[in-house]
Amino acid sequence: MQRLIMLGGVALALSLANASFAAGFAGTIVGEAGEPIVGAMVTARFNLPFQERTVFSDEQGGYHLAGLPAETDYLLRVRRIGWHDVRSQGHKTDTQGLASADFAMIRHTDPAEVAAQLPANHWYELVLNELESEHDREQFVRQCTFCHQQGNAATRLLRDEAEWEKVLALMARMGAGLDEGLAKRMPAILNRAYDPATAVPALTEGWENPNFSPPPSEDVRRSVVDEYQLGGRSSMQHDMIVHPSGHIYSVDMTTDTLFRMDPGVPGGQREWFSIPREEVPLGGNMGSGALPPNSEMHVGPHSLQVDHDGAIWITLAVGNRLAKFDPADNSFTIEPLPGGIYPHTLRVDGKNRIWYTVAGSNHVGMYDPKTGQHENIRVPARSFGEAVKLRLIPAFMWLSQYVDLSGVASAGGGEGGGPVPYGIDVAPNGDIWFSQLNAHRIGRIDPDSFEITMIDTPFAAPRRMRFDSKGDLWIPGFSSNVLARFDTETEEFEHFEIPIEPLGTETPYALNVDLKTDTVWICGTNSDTLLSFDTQTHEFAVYPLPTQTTYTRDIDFDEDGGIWTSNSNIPAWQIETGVPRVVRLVPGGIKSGEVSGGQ
Amino acid sequence: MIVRRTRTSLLWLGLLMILGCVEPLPTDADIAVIDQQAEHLAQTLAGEKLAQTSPVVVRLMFDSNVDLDLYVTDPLLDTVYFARHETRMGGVLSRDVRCETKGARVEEVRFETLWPGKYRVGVDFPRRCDERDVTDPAPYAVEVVADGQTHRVHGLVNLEYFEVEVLAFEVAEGES
Repeated sequence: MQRLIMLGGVALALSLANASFAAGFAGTIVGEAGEPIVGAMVTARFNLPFQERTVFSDEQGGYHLAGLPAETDYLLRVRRIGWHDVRSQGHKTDTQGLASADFAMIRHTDPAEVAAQLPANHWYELVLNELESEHDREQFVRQCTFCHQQGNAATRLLRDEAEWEKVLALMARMGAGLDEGLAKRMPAILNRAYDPATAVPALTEGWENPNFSPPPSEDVRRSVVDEYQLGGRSSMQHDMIVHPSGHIYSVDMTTDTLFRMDPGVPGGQREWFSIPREEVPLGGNMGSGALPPNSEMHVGPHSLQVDHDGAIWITLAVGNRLAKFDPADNSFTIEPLPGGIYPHTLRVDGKNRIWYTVAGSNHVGMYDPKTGQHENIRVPARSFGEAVKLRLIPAFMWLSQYVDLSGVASAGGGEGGGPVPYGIDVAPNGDIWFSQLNAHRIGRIDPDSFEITMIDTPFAAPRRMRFDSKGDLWIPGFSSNVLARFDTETEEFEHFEIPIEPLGTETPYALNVDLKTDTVWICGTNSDTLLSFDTQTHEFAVYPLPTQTTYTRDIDFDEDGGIWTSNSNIPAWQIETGVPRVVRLVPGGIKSGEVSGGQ
Repeated sequence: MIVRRTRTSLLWLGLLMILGCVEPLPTDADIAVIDQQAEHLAQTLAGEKLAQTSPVVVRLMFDSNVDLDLYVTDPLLDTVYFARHETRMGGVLSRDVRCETKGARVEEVRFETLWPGKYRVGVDFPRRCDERDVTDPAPYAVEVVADGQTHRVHGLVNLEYFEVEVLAFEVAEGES
């Protein structure tokens, strides 16, 4: 059914391929007394699979939703925290120019509805406030938000404690284990924090004040956000990239699919390619013991990068393989790996070699497609005991055929999940740098001798990091709410607190550096935002994204200044509309008074 | 190389068993007994009349010494289970059974509207309910009544293991 819908979507998109981008809507957003509403998000949805384009209303409440296909039917939605959403169907664009569409918004009268509009991080703060020790707070943040937001509508539920215990035990089997003591206390903590009787008043204090949720800055309000539905309800668009051809490629981890989308076609022309499974069973090498119930994951494509020849390399995390996709003939080549468990994030170095972290077994891998050389570099564990445990993993996997190892294998809490090599990047001088998420360290690998140097980070959970053009390494602290700059010469760190309100509630999963400007772009993973950081002025800008539960894990850039990411919250049903999207943010997309920008 | 790895692994196996970290998996004879228990559950479930009918009813029966969980994924690929009591298509966990639950060990999911498409039934074994420190698999039986047709399956599921698909069934377009 999903494929039929997508085929239909491709056909529809193709039929629109010649439609012009010259149309759109313009109008004014006002309140009940006719006052302008500033910073309202006005969204136009069209096509199936859909595309949505969102702009912000300006100081006078005006908006220009330009660059849309002509003579097309749209669903328009207007959203602003504190007011009821406005949804209006049956709007059609003219052959060119902007059709008029004004909207009046009605203030909420029930604070519970206002609280429900707040991004997940606001609710999440209520849980964090209940955790007295920094150890517990850090552990909860790192473990309980790495697949999905915490505090969104699907997670901020009241459950009886026995049900919470079962939920936490299930999450632990999926890799997100807490220390036994914290796991025992969490059910009561979650129920206290999420109880609407106390949560709603706490979250909505002063909500009658028009400045309760201030509009974005004027600069931010000029941006345009495009969202393209990609995949279905069982999908997880883990990572996406912008190919030099201008196409967007995205890997759907839970359906073993590579998607290609052409954003140059109105609505986005989508194609998909099934990644060869080669007899790998459901669940891959991990077995199906902790799979999402709607999953069809056999090889689990996780991350992707383009090499210098334009080919796309993909880590197949649960299949323990690499895949190469050739866009010239749409063919795959599968490269088995010599060892290690769970190939994760990858980068291509100047010699066209593929470097990748191996999260499960604490390795960094290198594959040279020219020579066929494989290196499986074991990186340091935190202790002798952990090193022994990691070396025993292959033996345990073999032994599990003959004995029950559930007691041994069930990882304990925050520190029990292995060091987890995670982010990786190639420095301008060719050195390879990687992070160990759970060990709170980064490491450098000499690309020729494979010699390793490890450095403790003075913040928790360094995740997906990138170099700027000058050779500084930028690192997001996932559970420490920081952006860090690391000087590889002096080995000094500099920190910048992520300014998402309430402070301390963001979980920056990944970042990327726009090498044209050295601006750092950061995932506002728990707050439905993207953030920019000017490395000269050290100023942040926060860009709200229009869809509730927008969980992002990576960022890439197009040639026209667009910042791309994907909404990869798993399970997808937690996302507003229930399906994943790839997202393009165009900062300053529409200049004041301009009617046809944004494309 | 393989011989060396096998020898090393056997040494570790011995060491782990001495330390009490692992238990041998059940023997074929043990499995045969548990399999018979699963068959018995299937017969019992088949003999139990539904209290009320719905277009789709999925039931999972298991023993009192274990807690199993029923997962039903609907044609919209949305799943109803113990932590998500209702799906957008209206699938409802109408009976959740845990260790402390009194009465019949039958977990149940219902759909009040018959939606065409594929349904997937999964069974998870998160924990034992007794104090026994054993890791034997648990027997189960599943029965589906969908638009008047009955589908049955029984089997074993390992502790802390999720059998993603023990049964799948299709409701054709136009069935009523």
